[in-house]
This record gives sequence, structure tokens and C-alpha cells, in this order.
Amino acid sequence: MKKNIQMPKLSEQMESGVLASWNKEVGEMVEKGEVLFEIETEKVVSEVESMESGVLEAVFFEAGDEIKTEEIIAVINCD
Amino acid sequence: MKVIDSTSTDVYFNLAMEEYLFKNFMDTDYLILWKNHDSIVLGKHQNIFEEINLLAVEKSEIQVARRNTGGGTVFHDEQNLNYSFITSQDEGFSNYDQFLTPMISALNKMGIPAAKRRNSDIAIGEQKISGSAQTIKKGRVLHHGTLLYDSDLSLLKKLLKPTEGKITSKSVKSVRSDVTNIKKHLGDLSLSLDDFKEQLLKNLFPDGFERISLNDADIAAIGVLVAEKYSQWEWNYGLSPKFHFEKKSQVSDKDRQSKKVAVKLEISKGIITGCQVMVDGLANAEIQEALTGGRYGYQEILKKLSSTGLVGNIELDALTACFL
Repeated sequence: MKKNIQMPKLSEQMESGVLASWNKEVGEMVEKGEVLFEIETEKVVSEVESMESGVLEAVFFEAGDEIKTEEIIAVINCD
Repeated sequence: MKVIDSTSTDVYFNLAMEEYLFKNFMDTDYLILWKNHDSIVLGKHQNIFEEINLLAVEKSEIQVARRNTGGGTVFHDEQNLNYSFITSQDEGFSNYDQFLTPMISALNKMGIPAAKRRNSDIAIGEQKISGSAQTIKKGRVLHHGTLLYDSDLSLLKKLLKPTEGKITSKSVKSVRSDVTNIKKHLGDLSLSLDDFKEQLLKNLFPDGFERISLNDADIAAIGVLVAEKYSQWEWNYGLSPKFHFEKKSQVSDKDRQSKKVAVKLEISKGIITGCQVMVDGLANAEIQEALTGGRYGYQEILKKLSSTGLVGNIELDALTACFL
């Protein structure tokens, strides 16, 4: 099954965030709980862990992109 | 609050210690105080090549280190006191005031007219004395700040002078600020940094605090982190986001004829993945081949160029400068 990964809303006020890095590459295996990507806003780095285990199938943004919260940024294939 | 006063002035050790404590010491709140020997410290997601003068830094003895928190590039010396709070955090998004308010209040009690500026700085008047940044992971927050006590700030300008080439990337940029030293604003100019530190601790925690030190196992684990991560090129340079470099130069050949050198580079993870070099309008395949696949750096490029044919005609240093 494929799961969409969204830009998380880290606080009530947060409307968007800058994707600072992907910690996994497309095609790579991701375990639940591993850091999948990082967001940096106002000099705060937030490490975001994967809620799913599977293969990172696609990413739709690159490091440095500012992305609205809840927008789909990647797909993990959990099969 | 448990307080650790680092006895090391090695930037790689101190940054590794910060990460080690952040990830392993979960029981209570910590404050680490530390200072580094002359070094340049970058934010976690910065492009090092956009921040430092590669030639000046490689020729100097200054260590360059990437830290674990966000933000921009700063210069450290032993008259700059760093502090790191490690505490629990319910929300995934931090605010700076929970750390800056007590710090400013402690400084004010010591007679320093410090106030918050922008979102994460402390300033005296319009001049910055402290910058801070954070990392959040699994319900813990690491808040890291600098306190310029009596730093020699002149060195910084030379080492951070940007390249004349044009760099395009989506990296986190540094914001240059007008800065000042805290010591200048103290009534007692004979106060050493160590005395300042002790006064700061008393004013931060009037009800007392617990001083702890690292045991041998902690120090060994931090040593592994230094060797495997913080001292490594892959972390300090290779983590830079990909970027595009472009520079047009004019150099003289040995007959004092002017030659136009136009360089375009694609750099990913610190490695030159694309290289276009035009000399007087003609592509130079030999140089392109020599540089592609190699690390981007002053010494690396100099070494590779030294075996190419053009060096007989153009001075090596002048040719290397076309790429930086």
C-alpha cells in the first residue's frame, strides 16, 4: 500500500516550512521512527521521523523549498 | 538543572558532546557551557562554499565545523562563551523566549543593558552580543547560543569574505549583523570570562544548580562521534546542499596576453558533478575531465589543475582562483 507523506504542521501558527534536507534517497528503505526529513524555520531544525516502514518511492520537493503544511511531499510504498 | 562546564576547547569535541547529551541524557534539564579555540561554525543546513573563503580558510589553521542546530555562520574563539540548554518540549515547534528571557534577565542583573532583538538574538542597543538556534527531536529541544564576551572579531571578516563567483542554491543563508563584546559594557573591565561565567550561573539559577561532569564512558562515546562525524569532510563540507557556481575571470598568460576563463560548475554533496570551462571561448575538455568527480576545494582543484596543459601557459594560482 502506498502512503502519502505530508508537510507536518508543527504548531498552531505554522502555515509553511522550509524542507531543509531529505535524510533518505528515493528507492531507499525507511524504517518507522527513522528521521525521513528535516525542516528549518527561524533557525530551528526539526527532525521529522517516518510514521511508516517501506520504500521511499517518490519525493515532490527538494531541499530548500518552502512548502505549505499538509501538502503531499513524498510517497512511501509499504508493501 | 544540571550544569556541565566543558574543559575542552576543541570545536569538534564540544559539538559532538552537545549531540551526545541531547540524544542520550533524557532524565532532566541540562545546561552546557563551552568555548572553542578559533573556529568557524556553520548552521546545519548551510552551504559551506557559500559562507567561507575557501582559499583563506584552507591556508589558515582555523577549524571549520558544522553544528547540529539551524541558522547561520559564526566565528568562535576562547573569548566567546557558548551555552546549550537541553530540555523537554511538548510541542514540535519551539519558541526562543523560554530560553532568552532568563538569559537576558541574568545579564540585566549583572548590569548589562541587554535586550531581545529579532526573534532569536540578544543585543545591546543595535549591536548583537548573542545569537541562538535550536534543534528539536523526539520531545527534546536543544537551544544553543553564543555570548560574545571579548572576541577578536577582525579575523572573521577575512575568513568569511565571499567568493567573487556567483553561487546559486536554496541553502540557508547567514544574516550579517553588527556585533559588540559584552566586556566593553561592564562596569568592571578586569572581569575574566571565567568570572563572568560564574556570575552568570549564579544569576541564572539563584536557587542553585547541580554541577556534573562526564564520565570516561561518555567521553569515549563522544570521541567516537568526533572521529566518525564531526571531524569528517563528509559532515562539514559534504552535507552542503547542491549548488551552481559561475565565474568569469581574466588571467594573463606568460606572454602577458589576457585570456578569458569562464567557469560553470555543478556541485552536489561537495563533489563537482558538472564542469564547463571555456578558455577564450573554447571548451577545455582536459580541465573538465580532470575536475569532474573530485571534491570542490582550493587544494583539491590546485592539485588537479597542476597536471593539466594550460598550467605551462598560465600561473597555477591564477588559474585556480578562476574556480573559487
